[in-house]
Amino acid sequence: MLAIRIPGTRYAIKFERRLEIPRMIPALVSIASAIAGVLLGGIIFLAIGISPMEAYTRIGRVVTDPATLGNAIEISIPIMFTSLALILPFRMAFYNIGGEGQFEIGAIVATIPVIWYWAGFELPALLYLPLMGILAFVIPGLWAMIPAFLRAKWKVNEILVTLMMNFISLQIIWYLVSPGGPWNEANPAFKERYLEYLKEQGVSLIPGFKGTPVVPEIARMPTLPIVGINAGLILAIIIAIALWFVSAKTVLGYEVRIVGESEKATQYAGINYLKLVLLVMFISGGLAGLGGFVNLTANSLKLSPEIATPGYGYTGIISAWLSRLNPIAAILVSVFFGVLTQSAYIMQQELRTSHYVSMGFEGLIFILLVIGDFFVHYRIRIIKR
Amino acid sequence: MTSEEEPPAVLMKGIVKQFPGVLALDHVDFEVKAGEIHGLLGENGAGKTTLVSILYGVYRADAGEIYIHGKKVNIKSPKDAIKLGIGMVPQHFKLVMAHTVVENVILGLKEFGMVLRMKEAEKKIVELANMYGFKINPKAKIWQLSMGERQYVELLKALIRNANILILDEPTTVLTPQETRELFNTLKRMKEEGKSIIFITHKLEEAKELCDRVTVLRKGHVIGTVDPKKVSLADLARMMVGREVLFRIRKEPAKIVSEEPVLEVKGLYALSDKGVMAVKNVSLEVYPGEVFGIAGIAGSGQEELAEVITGMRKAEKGKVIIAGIDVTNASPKKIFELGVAYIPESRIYVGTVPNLTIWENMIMRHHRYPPFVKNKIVLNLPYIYEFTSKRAKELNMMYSSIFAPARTLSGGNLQRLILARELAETPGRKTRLIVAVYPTRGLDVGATEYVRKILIEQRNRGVGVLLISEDLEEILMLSDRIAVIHNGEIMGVVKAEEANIEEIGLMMGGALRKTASEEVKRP
Repeated sequence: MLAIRIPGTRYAIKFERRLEIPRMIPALVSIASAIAGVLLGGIIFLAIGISPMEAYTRIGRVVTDPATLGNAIEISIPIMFTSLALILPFRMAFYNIGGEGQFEIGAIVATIPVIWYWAGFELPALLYLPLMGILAFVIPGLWAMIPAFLRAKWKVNEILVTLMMNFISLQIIWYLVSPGGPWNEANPAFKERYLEYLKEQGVSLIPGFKGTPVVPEIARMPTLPIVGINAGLILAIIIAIALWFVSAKTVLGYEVRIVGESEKATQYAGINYLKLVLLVMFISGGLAGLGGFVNLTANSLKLSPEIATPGYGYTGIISAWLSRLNPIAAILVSVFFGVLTQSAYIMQQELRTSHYVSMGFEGLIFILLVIGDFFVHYRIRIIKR
Repeated sequence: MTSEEEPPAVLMKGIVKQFPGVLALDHVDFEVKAGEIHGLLGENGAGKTTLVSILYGVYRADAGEIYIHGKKVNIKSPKDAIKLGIGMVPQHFKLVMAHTVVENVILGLKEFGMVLRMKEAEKKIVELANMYGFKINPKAKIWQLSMGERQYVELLKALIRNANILILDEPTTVLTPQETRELFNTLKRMKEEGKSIIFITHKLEEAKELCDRVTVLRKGHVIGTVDPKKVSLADLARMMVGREVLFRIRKEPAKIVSEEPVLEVKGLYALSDKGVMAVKNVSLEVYPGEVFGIAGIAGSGQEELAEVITGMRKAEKGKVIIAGIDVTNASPKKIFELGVAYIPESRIYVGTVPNLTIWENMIMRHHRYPPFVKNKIVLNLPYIYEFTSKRAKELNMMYSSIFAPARTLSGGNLQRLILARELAETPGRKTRLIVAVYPTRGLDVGATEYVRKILIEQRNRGVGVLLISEDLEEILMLSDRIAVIHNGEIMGVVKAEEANIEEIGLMMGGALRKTASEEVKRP
């Protein structure tokens, strides 16, 4: 317990640990921190000679204008997947930092049918998306089981392993798509068909381009009518609801909570840690992989080393944490990130601010959210000395 | 002893201390005369430790005044307290295990110089020990010492700082009867030297034997200060608890319900967490319908033994057989399924998970079997909620809501939760054996009485009980047969009604070993 005297008075501010955290407190604190962050961000704008009101109005317009809001949500969809992916492992104190790599592996394997297509091996049109989705779930799931196995068997630190594996997956992409690589768009195997397609589109190959041929129309994520956002949003919302159900109502969710709290209690409760962590990481890797699949088929349309830029996997860590591992909140927090990113674009374009100002603004909001965490566990009281 | 006009060593007036949600001390007046041993008696949560923590500067009182030797003082930190000549031996020792006695004792002292004059410090320590009649090797490392010796190190830390007011917080909990007697002799010597001693306990016999005066605290109030020689144990107990207390649990003789032991341990060896052999060639049998007590100083291997039996620790050698089935190194899950209830040493983080709700803790271990689960996947929550409320009510648990985290429960209610869960019987699982490790440690008189009653009830309905306790009173009161463990080995097994407390004490200390032919094989 901490008490700080207010100078010159008989009062002191005291921080008391909350014995029970009221249900709404985490959400309220997060919202209050975000607002405080935006307000404090005004100082940054003032410092570089931009009226804070002007900046706020433009950020406000991102939310009120359906077109930019749509963009913001579109940006947030990959983050939704990478943050949802982390909810179960983080709850069991398994720190999967490999969302980025699992996302990339998902995009890589989802590209396989695309490569077949341009190489002249075509599948029935209706098969593309389901097959790519299944591949992008299963293979990253298996990939993510490697650090789980190492940790359960030999107590190998999962943070290091998952982090290092991100470099491997990135190198795999580099190998595949670099000029001369087997999947590079200039590979003679695609020549006939792909060049014909490009001619129809009125474009040509870019010399030295690091990327695969484009995803054909039959394999692209459909766009939702009216809102004009890709259907990955629906998939993310379904996954969020499913994760909520698993957490709240099933043996799996229950066991994950016990493991997250105490190793000894895990053993006492008769939980098979190896089995549980393998299953959870299969799901986790799979969900991150689906994010890669959605990003490939809806946004980037080509596999390239930039597929996970700007760090969707790492942003997912922050987003999952800020949502306090609540899947529904993770969706909303991801949208908030989308809005921040979109605002940064707008300010760069309209106010000619540097990229770094936008990053600084985002950073400030994160810091306040982290500070806010303190108030979830403590309450303030003014006491008389 | 003391002249009339000499001011009291300690005078605390109108002390108030508020913790979030609890008034820990409500206008407490407390006086210790110079040169007396003053007992501070009360249940857990009565405010004993809080009161001395204020005196020692760990907490600050919200209101009230403190006088030391008649002078009003303002104690802001333990440093101030030490300057005023107050010393404290805490309940949980604060010693550096890998360091020697001397190093621990002089830690933080300036008088032995920047380059420590070890010889001088050693000499001073030996002198102090001799003066108060105990022996200690100043060069021994703390981890090599018994709990009793470690206590003397704590005492030396206070003495070398010239403490003349000594606080001892529940000092006898970790001691054998012999060690307790030695400590009492030392304390009496200190009293003769003019030191004032505050002796915190909840053991009535100790208060009566040792103290000149006793102040009884209950729920933050002073109930009274009495001369323990002039009141009966029952009176003291009534002051402490606020009602009559049963000192003896009426116990029928053990009924032999089966010739087959429910638990057989054969030549068992197991390592401690540090990789030292903690259980050495232990063999024992527990029969249905008996309480088999294991007496011993905490840390003698009994915790590891219980862990091996319940599947929490690997056996290096030997066998564990439960209900005729070899379960050596079987999983805790398998052993639970056989009907073994396990009350672990650590109520928190093993027996319960403090941050999870009461209902989540109530179904731990049961959670993967019907009727707690449907189709092996989905929890049957309506049933679980009903089950939790029902079991909590059956064991008189006090709680705010089944959705509150378990950390909001007191120790007694936490233990009730564990009992409620472990003894819950489902269609597929009947309780056969209870392994109870220190089941009443740290509980107040009411909760202790309740836990003991439950164990006896279960025994009477034919369950075998393996009771591990450091409280000899408890072992003698509940057990049908008693094994004594010392340094990982069973020193002997005796019948409870023929047990001799002196003999058990000697076995606990490793000074006596029964031969195989003397052992009591059956209840």
